[in-house]
Amino acid sequence: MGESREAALAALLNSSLWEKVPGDMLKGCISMYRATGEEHYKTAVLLQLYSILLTKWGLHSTHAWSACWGEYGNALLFALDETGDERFQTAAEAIFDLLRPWGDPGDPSVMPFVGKFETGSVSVFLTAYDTRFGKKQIYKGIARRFDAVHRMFFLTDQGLYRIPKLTQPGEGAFSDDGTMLCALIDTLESMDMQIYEHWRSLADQFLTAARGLTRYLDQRGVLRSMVEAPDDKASARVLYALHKGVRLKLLDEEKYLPIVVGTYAAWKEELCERTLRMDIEGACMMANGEMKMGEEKRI
Amino acid sequence: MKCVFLSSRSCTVLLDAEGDYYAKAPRRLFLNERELPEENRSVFSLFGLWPDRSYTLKAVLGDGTAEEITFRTEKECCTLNVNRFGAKGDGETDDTSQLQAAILACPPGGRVLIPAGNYKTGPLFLKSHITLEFKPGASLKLKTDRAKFPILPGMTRTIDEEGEYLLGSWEGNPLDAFASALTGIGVEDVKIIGPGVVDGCAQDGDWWVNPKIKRGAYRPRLFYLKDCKDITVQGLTFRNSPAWNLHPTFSENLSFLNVRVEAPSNSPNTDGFDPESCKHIRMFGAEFSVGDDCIAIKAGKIYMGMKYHVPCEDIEIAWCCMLDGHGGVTVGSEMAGGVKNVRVHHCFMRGNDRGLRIKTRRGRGKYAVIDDILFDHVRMEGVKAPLVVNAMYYCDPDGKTDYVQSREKQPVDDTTPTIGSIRFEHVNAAGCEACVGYILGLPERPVKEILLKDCVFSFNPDGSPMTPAMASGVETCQRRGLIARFVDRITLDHVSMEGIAGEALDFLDCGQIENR
Repeated sequence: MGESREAALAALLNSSLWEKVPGDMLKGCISMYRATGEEHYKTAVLLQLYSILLTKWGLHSTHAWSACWGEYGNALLFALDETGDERFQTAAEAIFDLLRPWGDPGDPSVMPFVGKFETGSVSVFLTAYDTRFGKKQIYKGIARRFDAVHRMFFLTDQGLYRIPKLTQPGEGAFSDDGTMLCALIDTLESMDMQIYEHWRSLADQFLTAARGLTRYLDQRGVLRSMVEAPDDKASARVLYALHKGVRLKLLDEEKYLPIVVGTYAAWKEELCERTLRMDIEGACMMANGEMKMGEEKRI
Repeated sequence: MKCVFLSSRSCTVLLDAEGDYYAKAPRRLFLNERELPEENRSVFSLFGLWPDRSYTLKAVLGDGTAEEITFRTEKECCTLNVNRFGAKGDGETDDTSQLQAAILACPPGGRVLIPAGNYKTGPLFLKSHITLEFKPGASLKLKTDRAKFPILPGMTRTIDEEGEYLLGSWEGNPLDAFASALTGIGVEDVKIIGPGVVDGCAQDGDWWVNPKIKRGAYRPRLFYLKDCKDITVQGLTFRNSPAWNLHPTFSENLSFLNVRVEAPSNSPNTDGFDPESCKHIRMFGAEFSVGDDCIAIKAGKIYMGMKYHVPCEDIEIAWCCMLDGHGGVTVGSEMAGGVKNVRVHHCFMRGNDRGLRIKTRRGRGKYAVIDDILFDHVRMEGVKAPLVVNAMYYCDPDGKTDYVQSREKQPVDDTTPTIGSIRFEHVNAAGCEACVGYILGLPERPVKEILLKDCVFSFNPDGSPMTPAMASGVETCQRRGLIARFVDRITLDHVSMEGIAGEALDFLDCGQIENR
C-alpha cells in the first residue's frame, strides 16, 4: 500500500469524519488488520480508542442508541485482545450495560423499530461481549430482534431478499443495504453454538437470506447489482457476508463459493474498467473475507 | 431361570429374578453336565459356545434345589479373524484399517473375531447383520491423537436446503463430534459380544484436559449409535472414555447385558450409559463405576425436542450395580423430547451421591415431559440422597440466570418442562447421609406426583453433609428427611426413616399430602 495509503489513513484520522461516523472506520481498520497483519491499521484503532479513553469518554452521550456505540464496543474487545489492557474491558463493560436494554426481548409485536444500522453493530457487540464475559442471556433477545427485522426484508412469497438496486420497483420501502446480512453473520460468529436454539434461528435466517439472494443471479451466475454498481457499499457487504457464511460452513461451499468468487471477479473487472475508487469500508470488509484485494493499492 | 439372549457363540441367563445385582444365593452351574465356576450374580453370560448347537444349563443351589433350561445357539455363516486381515494386536501398530476391513467384509450372519491382544485403533464403524466377538484378553486401545479422528458433522443441510441430516451430537444438540470407538450409523441386527475391553485411554491423551473447550470437535464416546435397531452389547468392559461411554441415539430394540463401565471418579463427563431419544431398551446385569452419572436417560435439548420430540421410553434397567458416580439412574438434564416408562428394578447402588436423580430446567420445552418413572426393589448402601428431583438444574451457560433459577411463578409457555409421576417402591436405603429425598419443582408447573411405598431409609450417623440438588439457594443437608417444594401430590405408604435429625417431612408450596 505504501505511502499513499498511510497518508490517506492519517488524513482520515485527522478529519472530522471520525467524529461523524467513527464506528465505520474502526471496523474497517480492524478488518484490514486481520486480513493483512499490517500494524498501522491496528495502531489507528488503538490511537482512536486511547484518545477517547483518556480525553473525552462520555457514556451519557445522547447518542446512546447510536450504532457507533456498538462499533466502539467491538473495537474495545479487539483492543483488549491485542493489548491485554483491562481499561478496554472496563469501557466495553460500560457500553454493554448501556446497551443491554436493547437486548431485552420484550414483545416482538410492539418492539420499536430500531434502524437496521443500529441492529447490526449493537447486536454483534452485545453477543460478543455476553459470550465472553456474561451468561449468554442476551441471545434470546438478539434472535428475536433479528427475526423481526429479517421479516421486513424477506419477500416470502417470492423467495427474494431485498437489497438496494436488486429490488424491483414496487417491492416495498424496506431493504437491507447489506448491513443486516453482515450483522447476522458477524453475530453468528460470536455466538456459542451450545445455546443451539438461538444460534440455529439466526443460521436459518442467514440461509434464507442467502437463498433469496440467489434469485438475483444473472446468466453468468454472478449477483448482477454488484457488477452494475461496483462501488456500492451494499454490494461489498453482501459479498463479505456470503463469503464469511461459506467460511463458517453455514453455506454450502459448492453452491455459494462460485457465486462469491465469480461476482468478485466480475466486480474487480468493472472497477478496473471504470477506474472507480473502492469504497474504503467495502475494501476493508472484503479484505476481512481473506480475498486480499488488490484494491488496497488504491487507498 | 431363563435365557434372555442368544447369539451364535454366547448366551445370557437370568438366574435369580428376586436378587439384585447379586443373586440371593450362589449357584453351581453345569453346562451339558460339565461343571462351570460358581455364579453369584443374578444375570450372567456364557461365552465360547458353538453355533447351531443345543445346550442344557443346570443351576444348583446349596440345598440341592436345581433348575434347568435348554437352548440352541444361532447359526453362523463364517468367521473372519482380524489377524488374517493383518491386525497385529501388539499395542503399537495402528490396526484401524485392518479391523475396519474385517467388519466391512463380513457377510450377513457372519462373525468378526478379535483374538486376545491389544489392538491400537481409531474409531471403527459397524455394519448390519454381523456379530463382533472379543475373545478373553482382546482389547481395543483407542488412539489419543484427535487429529486422527474423523469428525461427525452435527448438521448437514439437504441439497434443497429445506431439511437437515444429523450425525454428530453433544449434550443434546446436533454439534460436530469426533467419531466414537465403535460407531453405528443406521445399522441393524448387530451383536457385539465377549469378555473383551474397549479402552478409551483418555488418561494417556488430552481428552480430559480443559474438557469444556471444543478443540476441533466435541469429545468422542466409546460407543455411539444413530438411527440403529436390534443391537446387543454383551459382556464387554468399557473404560477410560474421553466423554460419555455408551451413547445410543434415535435407536430402538437395544440390549446391554453384563457390560461393565469404568472411569476414574474425577474424570470429566464420563457418564456410563446415556440412551437419548431411544425406545425399547433393556439393560441387565450391568456394572458401573464412573466419574459422572452411571446411567443418564436423555432426549435432547430444546431444538431437538421442539423439532423432533422423540422421547426416550420403555426402558428396563434390572439386576444392575451402580457404584459411586453422581447419580445411580438419572433422567435429564437434556430431556426436551420427553422420558417415559422407565423401570429400574432389582438393582444395587452403593456410594452414589444420588440414587434416582431427575434433572430438568426451564427452557427444555413443552415436549420435555418426564413421567412414569419407577424404582422397584432397589437396594442402596451409602447413597447420600436416594431421591432427588430438580426442576431448576443449573446446567448450560445460562443455567444460573434468573430465568432458570427464579422461585417466582414464571409464565407457562412453550419452554416449560413437566414432571409427572415418580414412584419408589420396596426401596431399602441404608447409610444415607444428606437426606431421604429433595424434590424441587417449578412454581408454575409443580411435580405431579411423588409416591414412596414400602421403603426403608436409615442414616449413617457419621455421614457428611451434601447439597442434594444443583440449583441456586439449595441448602446443604445432613440426615434430613424428605424435603419438597412445588409438588402437587405426595403419598407416603409404609415408609420408615431412621436416624433423621429434625423433622422427617419438610414440605413447602405442596398440594395434597397423604401419609399412611
